[in-house]
Amino acid sequence: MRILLVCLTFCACAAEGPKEKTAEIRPGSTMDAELHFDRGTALAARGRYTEAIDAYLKAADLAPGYTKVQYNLGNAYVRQLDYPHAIEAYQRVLALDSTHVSARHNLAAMYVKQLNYAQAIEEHRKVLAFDPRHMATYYDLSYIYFLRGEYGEVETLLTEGVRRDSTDASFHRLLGRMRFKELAFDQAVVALNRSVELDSTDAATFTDLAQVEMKRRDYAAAEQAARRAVGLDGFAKEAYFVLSNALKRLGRREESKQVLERFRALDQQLDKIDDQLRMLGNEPDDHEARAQLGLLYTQQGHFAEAAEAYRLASRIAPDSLRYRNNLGNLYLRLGQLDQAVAEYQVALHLDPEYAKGHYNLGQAYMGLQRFDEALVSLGQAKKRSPEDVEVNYFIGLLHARAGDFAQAAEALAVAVEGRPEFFDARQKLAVAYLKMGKVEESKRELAVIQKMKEEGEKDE
Amino acid sequence: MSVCLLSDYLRWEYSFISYSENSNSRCDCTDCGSILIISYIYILHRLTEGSWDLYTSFFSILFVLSAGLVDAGPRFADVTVAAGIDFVHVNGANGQKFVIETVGPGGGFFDYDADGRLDIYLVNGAAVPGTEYKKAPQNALYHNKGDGTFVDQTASAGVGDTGYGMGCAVGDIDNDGDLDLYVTNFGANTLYQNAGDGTFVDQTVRAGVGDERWGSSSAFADVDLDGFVDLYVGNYHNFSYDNHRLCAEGGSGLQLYCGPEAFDGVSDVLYHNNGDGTFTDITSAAGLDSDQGKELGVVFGDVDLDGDPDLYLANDKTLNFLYLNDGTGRFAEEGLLAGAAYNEDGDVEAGMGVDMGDYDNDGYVDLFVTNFQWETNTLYKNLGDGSFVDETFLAGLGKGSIPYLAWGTRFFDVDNDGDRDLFVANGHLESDVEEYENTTFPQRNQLYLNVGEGRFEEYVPTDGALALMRVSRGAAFGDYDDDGDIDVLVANVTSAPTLMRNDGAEGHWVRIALEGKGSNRAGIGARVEVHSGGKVQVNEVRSGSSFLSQSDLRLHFGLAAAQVIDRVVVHWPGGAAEEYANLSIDRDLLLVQGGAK
Repeated sequence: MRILLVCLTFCACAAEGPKEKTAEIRPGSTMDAELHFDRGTALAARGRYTEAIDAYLKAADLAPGYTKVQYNLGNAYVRQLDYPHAIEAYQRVLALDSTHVSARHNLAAMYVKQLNYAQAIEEHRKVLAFDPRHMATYYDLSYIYFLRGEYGEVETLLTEGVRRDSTDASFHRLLGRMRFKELAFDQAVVALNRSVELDSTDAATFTDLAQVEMKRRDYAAAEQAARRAVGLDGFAKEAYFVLSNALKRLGRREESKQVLERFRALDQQLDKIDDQLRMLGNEPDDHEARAQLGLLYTQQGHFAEAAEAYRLASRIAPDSLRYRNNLGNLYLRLGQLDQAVAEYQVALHLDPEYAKGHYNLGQAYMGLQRFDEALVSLGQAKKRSPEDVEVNYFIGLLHARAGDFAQAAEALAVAVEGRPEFFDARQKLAVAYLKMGKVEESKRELAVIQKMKEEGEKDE
Repeated sequence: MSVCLLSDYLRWEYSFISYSENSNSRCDCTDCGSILIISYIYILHRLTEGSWDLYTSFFSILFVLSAGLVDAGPRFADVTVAAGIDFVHVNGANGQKFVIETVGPGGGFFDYDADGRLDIYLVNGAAVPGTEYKKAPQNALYHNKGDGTFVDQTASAGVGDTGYGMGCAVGDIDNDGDLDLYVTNFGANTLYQNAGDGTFVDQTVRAGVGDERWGSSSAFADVDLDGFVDLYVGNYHNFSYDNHRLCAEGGSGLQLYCGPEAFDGVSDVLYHNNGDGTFTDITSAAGLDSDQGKELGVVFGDVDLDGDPDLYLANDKTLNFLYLNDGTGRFAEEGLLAGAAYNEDGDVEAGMGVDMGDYDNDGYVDLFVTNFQWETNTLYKNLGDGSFVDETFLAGLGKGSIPYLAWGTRFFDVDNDGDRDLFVANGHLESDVEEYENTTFPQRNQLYLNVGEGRFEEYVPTDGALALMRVSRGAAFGDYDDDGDIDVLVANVTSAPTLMRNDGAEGHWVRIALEGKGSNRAGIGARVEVHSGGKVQVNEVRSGSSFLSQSDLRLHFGLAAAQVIDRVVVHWPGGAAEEYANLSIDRDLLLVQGGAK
């Protein structure tokens, strides 16, 4: 199910934000408050919410009447899953400006997180009273009524939502889901297919379709839809659950069991994340707990949240090699390569003999296309771990790129020796030999590759 | 040759993670409706003196009136006070909000003095730190006088446990023909052994069954089929007065009872009955020593028809467990694979009460779990191949259950029409819930009528005991007034229980008591098939189930319009099947193992 929308667009400047009550700003502090605010917004944009919160708090201290500060502060708390503080921040915004629709909408979403549906409904209704065109609220309010089993209200709101914007896939999806619960399976399929037409990338819609097909006893169709869902989102646990059920009904028990294990693993990770968050609620300075949370988020594919967890862990324990290394890896995953380099460099500063750090730094440089530095870093890694397969593989690639095929072949040969089934390494070794004019050696590698391919096909 | 970034090759630091007969003929009024209508026609004819227009007009009016008079739905009367039940539950609450205050109580119907009439046992809370009572609250036993009223016999029977009570279960632990009583507490549980003379002896220490953790539901079952019932005790979680805390409600700032997430699960316990009045904790050896669940509901039943009792546990916000018995008393958890751990969306729910029953008369017992508000209760249909499927919405049990916080429950034939209906006891946790949510602390209980084809429809009366708003928890079921239909006892928080007398069942019935000879004497775990009127109904003798409660061990079957029972087959636990033929209806049957011709 699509998670309730929370408008987490961080206000970047006063002009874009709601009207400010500048009278409450202390004399002489406006400039400082703005500076802290801008810094917070820049940090939030890079996913560094902990530091952003610090900056916003400083800005709020200097200018308590800035709604934009409180609003962004609330959003940053949401990103950290700190809902009680987010609620307080949004309430402060609304105390300053009761017409702030985004803050009220987000406040409602926070109430939903706490299963406080009545207050969420109240806030959402106020949003629509202020702004009848607030499309996100039509969906969110419908969803709350759906959770409460009040399908008449859902119908009314979705009808209005579709009337205002018939291209919003989420309306059709929720309508489909409601039809499913109402046992109107054919109508559910129509609505869900419409949702797919509008947005074919939403795994949850395919999961819903799979569920409908399960109830229609068309298990093959259910399998197909569930596979589409897991193809779109490898972490969509509900999709694995339905897929497992479909496979079971199709008599493919072993496959079903394997898929169910994947579902269970994802579910357990989510449980652990919840446990970890609760633990951190009591002991916010437990850096190990924060790092574990980071790892759990990583396993769920939530890299931004993972990076935030590791960032905070590193802040509490700045000398931890592994926090720095893992944070660097997360920056790499998020495409923030410069920050990755910085973290790896801190790790190597802490321990210059850290082979993993050299290797990962090499990876980051490769991503930045700073190939010479990459080669140096990987060379450092090789010095500490000469037989390492991946280190030699990437060194081979870099030498080959530089036209030094002899050195490339030498490194790739080490990689292939260490892992004979390493298809890519063997393929690139064959090319390197060819470039060097070593045709026989190249043919030999190609023959091995051919054999590997045939065996692979046989296995399939 | 291109250079690529293979981020999958990144090296992570994982090392720090430590994931870690006696015929009871009743007023036979199956044709009352017809009699009324004929009466109307006669009166109408006299009044209109043959005028056709007047005749039809009056007939229309009277038909509408008669429809009101001959209400086809079940009727329950609240007879608590009239029956002499003056028990009032206390929970000691003084504003500190210890979570134990809002979980109980339960209660039960059982015939403690073997006079053939169902008596009532009610479990009470106790003082919490900061609360004092002049007289310690205690559990209560009410003796059924046979005239629809009860008299308090707690003191003379010696079962007035003063622990912080949760629930109870009964079984004949010593096969002496009388029923023994187990009481779960927050703190040490209590075993009362029936002395056979209307009194009980506290044998907790001698028997070794005084688990001191927070006991929730419990049940007796002969897990190893040795002829003696063993005892399973569900433990909720590790709350104590030392780790007590409150959880803030986001919007209002109110301090609420913390949910199960705030505490760690603890293992349940399985006590093996040694046959000499003592028990041995075999939890681990039986494969049941998981601390991953937060058990509230416990039910035994043979889900795979292999002749031994399996175990299903409703867990609060952790996945439900289905333990399959290998016939020797060793269990393997199969809930996830069987499809009985999560709901159809792959979500864990806040499992509270639980029951097994064959709602669709296909011969396999199905599972029903009651859950928290804003969740549905969940019906898992047994497909007979070792797997279950969530049929909640298809069965019509989904939408209507969402607004209620549900607890005690049971499949039972409320109207004697030959299929199992469903009762659900409701009530919120928080006394001040109305301040932050548009629901109420007391809630209406629900009755779902089985309308065939695997579907239920909720029956919502405008008056009578079913229309009452109470903060209900446990629910027990049995025909205490011996009129052939099942009555309901609902245990309520900080108030009197509700004794709901069933005044509406119209079909025929039979009530079967079993006496094991070789199998455990109370016949717990026996599976009984009743062949009558072209259909086959099955049920099992079950200790515990529902929520913290004990229902009559005798099996009641509604027979609709059938005039004879063609066959009754009893599958004795650990013994052979025995068959009885051509039995009369509307009566109690006592079937003794080995007594079939």
